[in-house]
Amino acid sequence: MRLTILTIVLILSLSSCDKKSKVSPSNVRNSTETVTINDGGVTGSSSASYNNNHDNGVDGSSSGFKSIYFEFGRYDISPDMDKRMNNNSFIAKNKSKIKLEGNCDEFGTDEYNFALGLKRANAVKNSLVSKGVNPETIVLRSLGESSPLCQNTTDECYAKNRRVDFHIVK
Amino acid sequence: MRFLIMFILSVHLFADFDTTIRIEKDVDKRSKVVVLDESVGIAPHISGKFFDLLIKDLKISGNFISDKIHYSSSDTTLELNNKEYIIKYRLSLSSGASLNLSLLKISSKEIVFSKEYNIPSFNKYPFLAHQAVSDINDALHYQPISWINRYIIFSRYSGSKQSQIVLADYSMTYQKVLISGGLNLFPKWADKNQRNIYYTSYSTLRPTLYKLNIYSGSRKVIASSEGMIVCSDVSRDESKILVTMAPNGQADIYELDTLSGLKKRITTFSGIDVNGNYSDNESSIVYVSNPLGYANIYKKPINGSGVSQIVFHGRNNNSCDTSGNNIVYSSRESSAKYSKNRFNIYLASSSGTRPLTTTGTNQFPKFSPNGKVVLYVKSRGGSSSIGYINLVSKKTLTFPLYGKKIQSIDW
Repeated sequence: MRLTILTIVLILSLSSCDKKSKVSPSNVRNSTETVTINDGGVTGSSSASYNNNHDNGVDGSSSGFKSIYFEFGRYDISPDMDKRMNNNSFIAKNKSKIKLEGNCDEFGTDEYNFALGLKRANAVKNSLVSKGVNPETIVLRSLGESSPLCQNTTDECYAKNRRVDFHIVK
Repeated sequence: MRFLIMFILSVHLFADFDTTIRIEKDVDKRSKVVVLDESVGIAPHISGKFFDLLIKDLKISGNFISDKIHYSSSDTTLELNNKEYIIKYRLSLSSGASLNLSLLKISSKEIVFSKEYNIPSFNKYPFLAHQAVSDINDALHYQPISWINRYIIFSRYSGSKQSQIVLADYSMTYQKVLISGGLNLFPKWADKNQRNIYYTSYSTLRPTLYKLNIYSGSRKVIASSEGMIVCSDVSRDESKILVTMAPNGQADIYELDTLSGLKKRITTFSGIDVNGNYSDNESSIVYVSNPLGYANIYKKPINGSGVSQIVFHGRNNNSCDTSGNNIVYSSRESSAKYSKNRFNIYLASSSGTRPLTTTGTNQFPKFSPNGKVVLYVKSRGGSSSIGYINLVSKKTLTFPLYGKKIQSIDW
């Protein structure tokens, strides 16, 4: 009974405010006679709290590291990347913290690509560890297809985006 | 004799193929309508857009056949032959937007439905059209189409390691950037009433899953994980979510209790497991995995170990969604690695599997909350559009997407 009275009071108070029905754009199933709602006008912002700078501008890695590239859809390191891995492990041994960022080309969809980028980063981490780098100094992140180095529609360009970048965490 | 043998053989061969002939008569139950715009002083581009929205809303409902002529009150003659109803409306854009709309039955001159709508923000005028068509649809006792009133939430890339999370109406005519700056991805509605979203922020070294109230702006950390974290589905009672996370560098699907914070690992395969969706009354998940070396759709019980392959065609099936026991998924059907790839959307249900699209690159399939409509993103010839397929009426609709590439989408 109390609920009924409350409902009637609420309806009367709303109808006295405005006799027009108001549209609530969010999922109004049964009625348009609802109070107009905030439209979700929340503008959040965030900024990176770490250094994201690709300072050599060549392959996405920084501080003397060389990015490791992958075949389409794969996350195993090919033998032609050995020289780069040796160079990278030599530098990594002297660093307190490094970040490995896995990247993909634009093919495939969002979530799968992020997992693929992570598998690539993890493969590089395992290789570094096998070469004597302390696993505690390595942090992994996948960026999926969000950080392309090249945006032309050529095979060479797509290949540049299937990579793992190395950065020092400051 | 040879003829007789051939005849008997033919009868035998075709007997099992089609033993019954089914005759179906397609009775068109759609209402034939003409739309009359009685608005005054509306800029032509807005007036045209609003009329188009009404016509498209009527079309995707599957319940109306509308005349595409934009009649205005200055038109002295309306073509009413074979029409059943007139939809008369007056749009006003002073102090927000308002719409006065009525539905008249031509034969009886009866006003079947009449209502005045108001919305305080001018930019939201598309919702007036959607709500009005949804109401007309209900007034004529058709199956509800309230999904057209819902918000779409999506993320789009705005630069390298930059993205925006955007709120939109289903036609993408209304758009509002909710989150910008940095990399914020994978927005997912957290509740049926569309008040909260989950999304992944890359603002710190560890990707973090947040729950954001889009009305108050309050934000809560749900979980974080090295490498990646994505919310891919929400349980019906909204207390549990499926997330892909990688606590040890290995992406697997977990079920997370958002109240207690407890998490349960569901998949354990050493390859890739992503895109978990509840199925079988939330006792199983349907997800994407690559045990055969390419992405495909699989199913496993949440509290068990048996994994079953769901899809047996395609070269790369890397996203899916569920509604009850129905599954939609995108499937790469060409062997080209790159730009000439063709992806189509398929529907798998108890009555079999059928393609929903046949041309272009079609991805990001998502069921509407009632499971009757499928949303997808189509790319063709360098342009993209958002598409809808009404599974009941078989009507389809696309709206162009301009500019930035969509990363993830939910509604």
